[in-house]
Amino acid sequence: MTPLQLTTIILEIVRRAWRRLLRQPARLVGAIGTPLLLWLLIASGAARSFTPVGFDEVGYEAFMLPGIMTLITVFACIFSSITIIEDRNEGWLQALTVSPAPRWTIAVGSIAGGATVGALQALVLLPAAPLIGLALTPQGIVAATAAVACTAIAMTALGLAFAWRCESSAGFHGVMNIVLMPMWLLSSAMFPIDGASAWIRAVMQLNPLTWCTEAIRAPLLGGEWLTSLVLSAGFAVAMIVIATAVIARRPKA
Amino acid sequence: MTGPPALSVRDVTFAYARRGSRDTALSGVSFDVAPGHRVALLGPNGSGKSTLFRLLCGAITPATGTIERFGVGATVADRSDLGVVFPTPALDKHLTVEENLVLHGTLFGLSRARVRDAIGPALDRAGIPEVRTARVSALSTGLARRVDLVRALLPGPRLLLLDEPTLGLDPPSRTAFVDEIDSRASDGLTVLMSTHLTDAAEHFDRVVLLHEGRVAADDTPGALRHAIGALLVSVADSTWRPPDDAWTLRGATWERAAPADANAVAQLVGSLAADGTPCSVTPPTLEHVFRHATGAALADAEAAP
Repeated sequence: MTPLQLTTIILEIVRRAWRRLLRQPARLVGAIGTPLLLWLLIASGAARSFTPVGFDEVGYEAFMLPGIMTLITVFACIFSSITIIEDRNEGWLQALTVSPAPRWTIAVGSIAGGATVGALQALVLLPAAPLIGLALTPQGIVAATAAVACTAIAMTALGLAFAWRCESSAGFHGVMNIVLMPMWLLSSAMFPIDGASAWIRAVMQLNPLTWCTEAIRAPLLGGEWLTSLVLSAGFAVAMIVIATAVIARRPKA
Repeated sequence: MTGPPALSVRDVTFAYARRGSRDTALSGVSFDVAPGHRVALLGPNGSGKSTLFRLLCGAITPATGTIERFGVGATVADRSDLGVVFPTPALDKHLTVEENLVLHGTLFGLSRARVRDAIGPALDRAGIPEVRTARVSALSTGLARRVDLVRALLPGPRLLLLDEPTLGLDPPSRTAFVDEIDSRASDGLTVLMSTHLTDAAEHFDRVVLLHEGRVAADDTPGALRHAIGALLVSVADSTWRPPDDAWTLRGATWERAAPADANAVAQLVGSLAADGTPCSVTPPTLEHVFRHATGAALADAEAAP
């Protein structure tokens, strides 16, 4: 196939992901509404009780906003990944895997579709930053957007790699909850690394989702973001390679 | 026949690994499908049809033996000349018919514009032009199946593989579906359909009977029926004691070929009636052929674990 044909396949799969999202409003509400509610309740409730170490000047709401953007990205991307299991149950995936389209185009298209859907849902929160006293700069917006994009790509690819081998969406949810909730809780979304005990701090520093959350937070709250962003991009690339290898290796038909 | 067969299956064996043991699904399966022919792969659930179907699609590879499409190994053959219809329509229910068809067309390397141009004539030919903008979730089962057939045919395959495509369809929908396949076959399309329904297989050019992972018989429906006699006398009571060795118990039914002479048939039926044994005299069906070839009824074999 020519590069144009391959690009068309990838774009069609991305287009499908968007159509599915826009035609399932409940999915949109679930992916944005739940974390948003969590942010409003926790941040508002804990605002006067907790002062995150090293973030005395910005307040807990502002500290938590990037963590909530990470959570929205994780939720939305994982919801997108479940599509693969539905596709298999409904026969769509079988037709895809016996078509002449190379497997990697299915992987890249699915990752791109899920990631754009997830990233844009998280970025909806970005305009809320000035409302809680954060000054957005053009450079900060670009850097935070890039960080959200890396997070979305990595989490969609991680979800796809799991979903490709999962028989049921219930099993997928089980595995994902065990993996993702600890990952998110230990990603500096709710509490800063500096205030954690030594062993938790060590785990948090090794957690790729910490790099992502910090890469979103630093441009918004003012700080050095390049290192976190580079690490997040590396995480995204590694997950793309893993997901593509899993999908290309063997059909789960 | 000139050139290679559209499909060539040679000594194919396949086994699933199950907790340290191997569960044989196919043993030494061989048959050919000539270009332009319609072949039905008939067998009960568990006979190995689905495994064979996945092998024919190139989704999995045989443990031993070879499968070729138009002379090229199935796993490396160009898939652009292959159309596949699965038991469940491969359509995204959240998308419209047109959106589904455009997406599938692009998977075959077709441009969006070319697919869109082809959709109208394809739906017209299938007799369902009105569904073009409909959401798939709003279609009936029968319509969704027919759209799925259009999906498989849109890229212009030379070989169409169908796995239980009429399952769950009501008679009118089944007739419309089969008519569409016949219409395409008359244009030279090669068709192989996997089914456990004898009536669906009856009008195919050839029938390959599959039982317990092996080919039990392979011929035209007429030749298969003729091999077991022009007429069959059946007694649907396994506890009945037949008067002679001409009778064979197949499943729960005693059967024998009817005598060639009409008077002898009447005499046989009369004597059974006199004994209070109800019987039927019918031309053999593929159900009879299956029983004759395997000793099991299609329904019995289906019920077996």
